[in-house]
Amino acid sequence: MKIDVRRVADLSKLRLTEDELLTMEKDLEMILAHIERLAAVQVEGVEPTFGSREPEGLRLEPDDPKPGLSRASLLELGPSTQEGYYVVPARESEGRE
Amino acid sequence: MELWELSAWEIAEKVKAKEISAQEVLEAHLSRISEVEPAVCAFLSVLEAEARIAASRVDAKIAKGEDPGILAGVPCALKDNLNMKGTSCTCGSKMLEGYISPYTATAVARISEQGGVITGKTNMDEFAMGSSTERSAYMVTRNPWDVDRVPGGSSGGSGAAVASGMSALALGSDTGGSIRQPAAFTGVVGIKPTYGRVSRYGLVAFASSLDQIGPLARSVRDAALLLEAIAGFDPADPTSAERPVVPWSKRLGRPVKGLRAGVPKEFFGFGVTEGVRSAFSNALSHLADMGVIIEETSLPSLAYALDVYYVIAPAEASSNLGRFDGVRYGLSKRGKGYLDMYRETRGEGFGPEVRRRIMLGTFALSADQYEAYYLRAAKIRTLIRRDFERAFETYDVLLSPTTPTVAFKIGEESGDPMTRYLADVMTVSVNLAGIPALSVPCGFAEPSGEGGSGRELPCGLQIMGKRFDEETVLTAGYVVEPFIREEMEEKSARMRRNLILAKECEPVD
Repeated sequence: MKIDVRRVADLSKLRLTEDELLTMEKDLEMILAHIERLAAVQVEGVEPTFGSREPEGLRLEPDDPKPGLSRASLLELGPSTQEGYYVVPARESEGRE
Repeated sequence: MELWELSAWEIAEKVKAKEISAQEVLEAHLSRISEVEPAVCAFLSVLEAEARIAASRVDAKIAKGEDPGILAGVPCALKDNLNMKGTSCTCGSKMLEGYISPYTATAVARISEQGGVITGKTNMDEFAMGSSTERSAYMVTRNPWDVDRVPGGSSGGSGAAVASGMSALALGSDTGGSIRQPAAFTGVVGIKPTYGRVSRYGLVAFASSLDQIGPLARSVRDAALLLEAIAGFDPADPTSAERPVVPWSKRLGRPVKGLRAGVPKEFFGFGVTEGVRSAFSNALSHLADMGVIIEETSLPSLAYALDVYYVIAPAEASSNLGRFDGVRYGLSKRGKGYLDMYRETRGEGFGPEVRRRIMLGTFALSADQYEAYYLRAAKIRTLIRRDFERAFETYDVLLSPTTPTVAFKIGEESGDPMTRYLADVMTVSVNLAGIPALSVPCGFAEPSGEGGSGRELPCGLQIMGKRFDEETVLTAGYVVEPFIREEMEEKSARMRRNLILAKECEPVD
């Protein structure tokens, strides 16, 4: 299985060097070569399992506001904040995506 | 006997009876840490000041005649992916260097409420992705039984801390075997509880449908005691189950005569070494002597469990780790635009294994691959779950070795990442099915290819149970301990003495 590592790195929002991309391509192809075996399993009519609480499913909380962490304590963890907001680089400088 | 050699339940009894104080117990453990930590490297941080406050609170409660809780004065270490307010929580990653938790995980709060004393945060593979603790961005933890070998992972720091006597108890997290595999490699007991049994609130998420917090301890009784303290419903975790907590530590010792145990033959297609196989067979014959009915059985879909795991776990991880964006906490690298910020931060903050799994998961979830990989794996997961359900119609427990080999050497890597992933081959299916499983030491074996070296390392027996039937799993584990009690006591006493002479470890580059 060939894999377009540049595209996957882009989707993953990971900056990788040329060397890292090459190693990554080799590693992922080796892993996928093992996983290919799954294609042979008969799964027609089988429902997928996405969580471990199935079949009960998840419990829903009543939609009542409760006290949580303070805004100040969370903002304190931010690498760059100003007047109660997180500061991030401008989108414009990136050009069109 | 030194105070750090006492079991958790003995400490709690003696502290409650005022035979010893929580502060004395703590000081004995802190001095044990300064004695052997340089050789083991189990702790990313030791919380001396916090622990002293907690221990004096326990003593004050007892002096006032109040109930200090079931873990009165028992030292407990935390894997460094569990949040504890005001302390660091690195997840073994440079991404979270310097991060200070603004809140406390439910399981951790429950330990403190029950009088437990948190002594430190233990080393782990970065974001719990690994089976050796070599993937930590900070240091490599060494196996107390042989410091040239890995303690297993990803909760390797917790396993090594408990085995070496630096902590009576420790918490780990288990997504594909990360409690059981290091427990087996370091000769201690580890439990992965049923999914939903222990609140995951405050555990940094790796793969949310698989992650569970659980205890590591030097005996089944101690592990049961810690499970009792941390289990139970928590409204803060929507996957938490509304099930009553069982006083497991008091229910041990029931007879196992007539218990039905199945041994899935598929597990032996995974390269189980001769030594591990022989320790496992010995345990089986002891169990049979006690009246356990043991039969070979078959769960055909187990053959695919590792492949299914390495689609589902990375897929969930790629989504969970999307939160590390350089904006709200942790490392932040600012480039020319916001996309640059994401790429630079994540490219630099995550280590090679984490990047590999994010890439694999992103690929498996991408629009053109979703059906072939993620959806298909989720369907085969249903087959695995059904195979377990079917087996549990006949059997009370299922048995296997916890790992195919004993602890491997530090740095012993092959080029193919899937070869290393084979360390999890016996354990991942339990997480996919959401069932509980225990690893209990069941013997010693020489590493393969080193026959006659006289170097023996611990092996674990994995006992798997029905959902929410931790009681039967613990009952079965409890009767295994006496099989090797004398050998274990003698060998571990020697191991703990030898550690003082071991050379110091070095930080990772």
